[in-house]
Amino acid sequence: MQKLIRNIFGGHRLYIMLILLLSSCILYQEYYNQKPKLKEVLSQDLQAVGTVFHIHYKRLHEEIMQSFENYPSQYSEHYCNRLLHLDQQSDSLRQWVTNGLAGKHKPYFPALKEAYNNQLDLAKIYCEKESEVLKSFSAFNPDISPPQKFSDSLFLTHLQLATMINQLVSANYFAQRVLGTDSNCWGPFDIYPAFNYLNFRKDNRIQFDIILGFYGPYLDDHSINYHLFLNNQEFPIKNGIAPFHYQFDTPGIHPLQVRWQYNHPETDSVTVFEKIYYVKVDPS
Amino acid sequence: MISRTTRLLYILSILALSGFIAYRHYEEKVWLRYATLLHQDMLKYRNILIRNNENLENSVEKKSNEFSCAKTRSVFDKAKQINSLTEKTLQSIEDLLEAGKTNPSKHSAFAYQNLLVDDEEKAVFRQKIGIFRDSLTLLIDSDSTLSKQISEACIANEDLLNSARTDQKVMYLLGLELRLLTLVHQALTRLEEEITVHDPIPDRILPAISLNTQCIKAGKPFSGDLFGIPYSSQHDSTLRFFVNNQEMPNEGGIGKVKLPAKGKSQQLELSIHTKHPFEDSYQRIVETMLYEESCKN
Repeated sequence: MQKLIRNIFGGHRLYIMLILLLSSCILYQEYYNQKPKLKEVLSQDLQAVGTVFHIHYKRLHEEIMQSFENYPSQYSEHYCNRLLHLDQQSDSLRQWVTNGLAGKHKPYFPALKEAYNNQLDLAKIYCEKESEVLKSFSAFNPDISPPQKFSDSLFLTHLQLATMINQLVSANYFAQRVLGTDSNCWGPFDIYPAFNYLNFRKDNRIQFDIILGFYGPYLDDHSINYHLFLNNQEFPIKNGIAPFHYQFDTPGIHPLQVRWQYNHPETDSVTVFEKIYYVKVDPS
Repeated sequence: MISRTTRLLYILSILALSGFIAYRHYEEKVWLRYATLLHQDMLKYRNILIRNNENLENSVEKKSNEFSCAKTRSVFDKAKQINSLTEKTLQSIEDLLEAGKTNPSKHSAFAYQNLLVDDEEKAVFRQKIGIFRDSLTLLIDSDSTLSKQISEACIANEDLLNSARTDQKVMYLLGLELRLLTLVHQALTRLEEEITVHDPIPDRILPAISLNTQCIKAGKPFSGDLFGIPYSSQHDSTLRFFVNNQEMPNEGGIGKVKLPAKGKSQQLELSIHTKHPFEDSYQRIVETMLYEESCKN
């Protein structure tokens, strides 16, 4: 008996048994663990989601900027500036993550988290605390972020999505503010033929214009501060219309020069549209 | 008896193997914690994508109602079928997951057991994904790149399907749902683009005036309103202007009317014909107005 115990503990058998046991335990775990494959597949799935969100964001971004180009009002400029600022903030954050994904360097978690928190705070302020941006996603939850995990492409893709969603939610909010509730808002507008008002006659001929008028979101909600003049005299605007009182002292055909003028607030440029109508003035 | 060096080597090997197991165990704990949160986020992403896809279908419906014709109706039908097909496929995955749930109220990748264990269950799953692939590629037959992506996405990952870990299968199924939803999103976006009509943006203002009186006398004040009417200068090729069925010239989106006056009062029928974007026809907007001499004596 003593010899047997001595042989087991003193000889090779116990060590070999232990090594075999541990090795088989490792082999069993490694064989059944599909985690690396799962991570790879999930990373691709999340990237696909990210691409969809990014395309959506780009579309909203372009629509907002385009609206500002078409209707350069202070109101839309306000939201465009917010959009661009948030863009800058998010770009630098995304750069960290992109570099990490490309293996250029391991993103440093505290800096990354700080950048994300800044983006989140900015988005909350810019969205006037009304949007879903307050519902944060868990990618930056400190419970899940031991520093060594930051080279993991699944985790980095997850982070990228979290930043993208905040941007997307903010852009959607700005689009609602600037473009109306429907983000695909350029058409159709309420179309109406606007010809009732232009009823003037000159030289025994009826002469007027017909146009297909649009509902202009910034012109009709009076957020553009434009001016209206009649024969170079300005009349104050109330609800988009400038009521006027005027007088001609002599009979005959007289011109009525109507001028619509918009002074761009940030530049010295002025946009002017003018049209001359004629009116027949009878003797009193 | 074994030598001291050999014993040391054995002990070192055992320590290394134990260390490796301990490290793997720690890594696993980190992953489990992360996977729980990632699972929650993925459910949120899924809901966002489902909502986006519903919005896209609504947008297609709106556009097809706006310009109702064979083309827009067919696009809308496809969009509806795609969403209904996706809903059915997601529901079958949902049923599968529900059946394997240990606690119905729990929302975690670890709240499941015995998921996709027997071969028959796996075969049914593969079949359902196959039906989804075939039906979707049939509906978007014009887009070969997207069809290829759908075909690739719908090949079940056998390693993960056969994994002994239920939580990994759950994550895989959720990831697959996300992938399918993004492909459906792309398909719906393309359909929406097919019937998107880029309306000319109102880029100009016509300064306008209306008078409160028809009779203006010298030395007497008169009143009225000034305003601006936004219109588009890009309308010149899509609009035709008519007065009493007589076509008027179109100058940069403005119909220039010049008619001889007939008497003190006359009825004018004004109409604007807008080109239908998908058919060779025009839609008419008609309005009649009474033209009257400005001052009746």
